[in-house]
Parts: sequence; C-alpha cells; structure tokens
Amino acid sequence: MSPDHASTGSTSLVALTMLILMAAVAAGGALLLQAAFAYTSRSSTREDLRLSLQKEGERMAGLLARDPTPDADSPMDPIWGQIGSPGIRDVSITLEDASSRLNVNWAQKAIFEKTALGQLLRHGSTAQELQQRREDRGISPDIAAEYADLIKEDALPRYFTGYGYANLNVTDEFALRKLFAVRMSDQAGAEVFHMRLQQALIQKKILKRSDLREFLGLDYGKLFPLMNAEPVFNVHFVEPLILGELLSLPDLRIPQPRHIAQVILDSRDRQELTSEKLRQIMGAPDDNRIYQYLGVVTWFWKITVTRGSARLELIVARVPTDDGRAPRFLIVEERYYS
Amino acid sequence: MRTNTRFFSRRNERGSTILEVVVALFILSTLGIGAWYAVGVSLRLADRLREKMLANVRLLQLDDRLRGLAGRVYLPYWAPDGIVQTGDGALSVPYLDGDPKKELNLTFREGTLSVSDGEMSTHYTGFPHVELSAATNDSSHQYGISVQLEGKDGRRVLITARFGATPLGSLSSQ
Repeated sequence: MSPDHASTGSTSLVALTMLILMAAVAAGGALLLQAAFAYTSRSSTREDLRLSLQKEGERMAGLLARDPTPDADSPMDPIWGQIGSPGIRDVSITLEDASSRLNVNWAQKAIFEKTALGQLLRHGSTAQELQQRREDRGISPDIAAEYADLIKEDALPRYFTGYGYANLNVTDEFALRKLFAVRMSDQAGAEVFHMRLQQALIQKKILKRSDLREFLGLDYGKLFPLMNAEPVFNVHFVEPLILGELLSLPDLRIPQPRHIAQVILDSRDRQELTSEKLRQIMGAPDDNRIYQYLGVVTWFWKITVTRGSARLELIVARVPTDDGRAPRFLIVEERYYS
Repeated sequence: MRTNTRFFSRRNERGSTILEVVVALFILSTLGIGAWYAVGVSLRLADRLREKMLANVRLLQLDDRLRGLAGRVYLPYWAPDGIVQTGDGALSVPYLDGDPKKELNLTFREGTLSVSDGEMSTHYTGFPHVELSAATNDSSHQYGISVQLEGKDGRRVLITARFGATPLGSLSSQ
C-alpha cells in the first residue's frame, strides 16, 4: 500500500467511525421519539373519541334541561326527535327512563306480597328475603350483582332499577333507615329517624312536599332531595304490568284499576299527560297513596351514545328544588366502554 | 547551467508530502475536535430530549392510570358529601368499581407517588413535590381527584380526574 493510500484510508476510518457513532445516536433518538409519538398519538385518539361521545351525551342532557314542558316528561318531548339526528356522524343515541321501575333498594314488601309483582321474584324467593338482603348487605347501586339470585333473570333489567329517589310515603321503612345511616354517617340518628317514620306510618300520615322541612328537621339540607315526596313512576314510561299492579294494590282501594290502567296506557300514546289530567283519570281522593307512586315526571334518565365499539352511558338525575326554581339536571354517572 | 525546474520532482513531492501530512493532520485534528464537540453536544441534546420525552411519557402514563382508576370510582348518588379522605401525603376514596369496601389509594412518600386499586400498585418517581386533594366545584362538591406534580425542572402539572359517578350532593353543595 502506498503512503497516499494509507493516508486516505485512515481519514476515511475516522470519518466512518464518527458517522456510525452519530448515526447510532440519531437512530436511538429516532426510535425513542417514534415510541413516544406513538404513545401520545394513541392516547390522543382514544381521548378524542371519548370526548366526542361525552360532548354528544352532554348535548342530550342539555336538551333534557331545556324541555319546554318541564312539568311532564313524555315521548312527545322535543328531545325524542333529536335522538335520530345526532350532532356527529356514525353515532347512535338511545334515551330511556331509568327510574320508572321498581327500585329494588327502596321497594316495600307489600308491593310483592299483595300483587302479581311477586311473580317477578325467583321461585322460592320471598319479599322478606329481599328486605333482609338490604339489611344484611346494605343498599347497593349494583342491583345485578346484589339481587340477581332473588329476582328472575329476564325481569331484573326490565322491571327493576337502582336509580330513583326515596319517596318517604312509599319506601320501605328499613331501607329509609339504612339510607339515613349511609347519607348522614350516623347510626344512632338513623334509629331516631326510624322511630319518627314509624309514628307517621301508624298515623297513616301522607307526607307532602310542604311537610318535608319539618319532618326531616335539621337534616333536611342533606337528605333532600334524596328523600322526598315526589311521585316515583312516570306513567308515560312505566311498564304496563307495574302500572296495572300498582293501581290494583288492595290498600289503595282504586275502583276499576284495570280499566284505569288501560285508559292511562291509551292516553299516553296520544298526548302528554299532566298531573291534573292523571288525577282526573284516576279519580282517587287527594290523600290517596297512589299519587305517591304515579306521576308524570322522570327523575333519572339513561343516555347511551355509541360509535363503533365505543359506548358511553350517562345517568342524568333531575334534581327537584324546594323553592319553585326550575329543576337542575346533573350527570351522576358516566361509564365508558371501548 | 542546468537548473532544477522540476518542482514536482519525486524529491520535492516527498518534502511536500511531509508538510502536507502535518497540515492534513492539523486540519484533521481540528475537524476531529469539531466533530467530537458536535457529537458531545448532540449526545447531551439527545440525552436532554430523551429525559424530557421520558418524563412526558411517564406523565402521560400516570395521567392515563389516574383517569382510568378515578373513572372506576362509582359513588352512589346517595353517598354523603366529603367522601374523599386526604392527609399526610395520602388520599383514599371508597366505592372503587361501585364496591364500598374497595378503595382507590394514592400515597406520596420519599419522592415516590404510588397509585393502588388494592390489587395492583404502580409507582412513579421523578417528582420532588406532589399534592393530593379532592377535585371540587364552586360549591365544594367533590367530583374527582386532583394531583399537582412538580417535576425536577420545576415544571408544575395539575391532573384532575373525574369519578365515574358522583353523589347528588346536599342542598348546601348544589
């Protein structure tokens, strides 16, 4: 090899080494950047999809709040027309009344023992067991996990719910005691509250909205609207079986309950019923307990927004007020599946 | 007289080659030093970039984990106010997966933030200062958790993660 060649060769070797070193550093950096960008991009895409579904769900909740007839909720409300035309493409929306079913956490034994609704319980299960379950394990938001062994499989999603306010006049007294203890974190206070409740039951007193502040006393601010005196079921959305059986409760002494149930079912298909109209149809005296069960307002809604394999479920609560102001709508639960 | 006009004779070429080699070595060493400095700067830059990217990725992972876990907290609508417990570098909230006995726990001890769902605990380092608190609205109604982190570079990041479900709140918090 000539000296010229040797000189050229060694210069190339230094340059080559430098180049390889720099290339290795650059390649390492590029790989790291690529991995970081990929993670960021994946995270961003997931978040964008979720945000778009959330936006649509919140739009629907906003429509619920802007109902032009806030004193009654029915399939004639404008929101039902909006469901078929979502704000974004490839999205489907469903809306359902989540509270006009039997609230398994609050329901009284008599509902099952004195009507055909008892057939919704599994063979061999009793209303007593249901009540005892609540005493033993406490009230639970997950009704499928907690009560599936007591209630028939097909009946649980159709006729039962875990969402709804506890109307003091028609909620199981022991469930109310449990609710008080959880809400107020006060077991001794719950016993006192239970005694007060039992006195009202003995006197067969129907608590009205105007009685709540006095009855709940100093705890009113924390217990209302969770405990209230609002009708539980919206007749526009309640299952015909529940409607018919509630009207047939022997203690309520409603004349011709089957006929009245049919009149309500026929009417709700044609028009939005008002409280006054419903009272006219039922024709019971003002102090009848049926008005604690049946009304025209939905308290909890379930909105489901689906896009591809992603699904967002929102539970929206209508929060009643006690000062004549318009009710508020609050998203109390949000479940996202993808 | 015969003059030597062969400037490019082999003898001259040899002499020039030594000079050329010295010059070439000087140039090469200058280039080498320059290249070495450039490599050093690039390496430091790459290292800083890598550190920043890793810190951001760690932050994103923590953000994902916190949001995922907070989203699994389903407080029933009848739950009392002020259910998030904080204090002494720790935060806990029940009703993870809707179960009152299961808790989401966050602790910050000796520079390590631990996030646990009772089954799996994940640890995050690189934050000299972390503050844990309940996320509240204007009416002090708790709707999630807030984690304020301070990085080694003094950068502050606030992560607020909403619960999957929140209680109705009392009249005073509405």
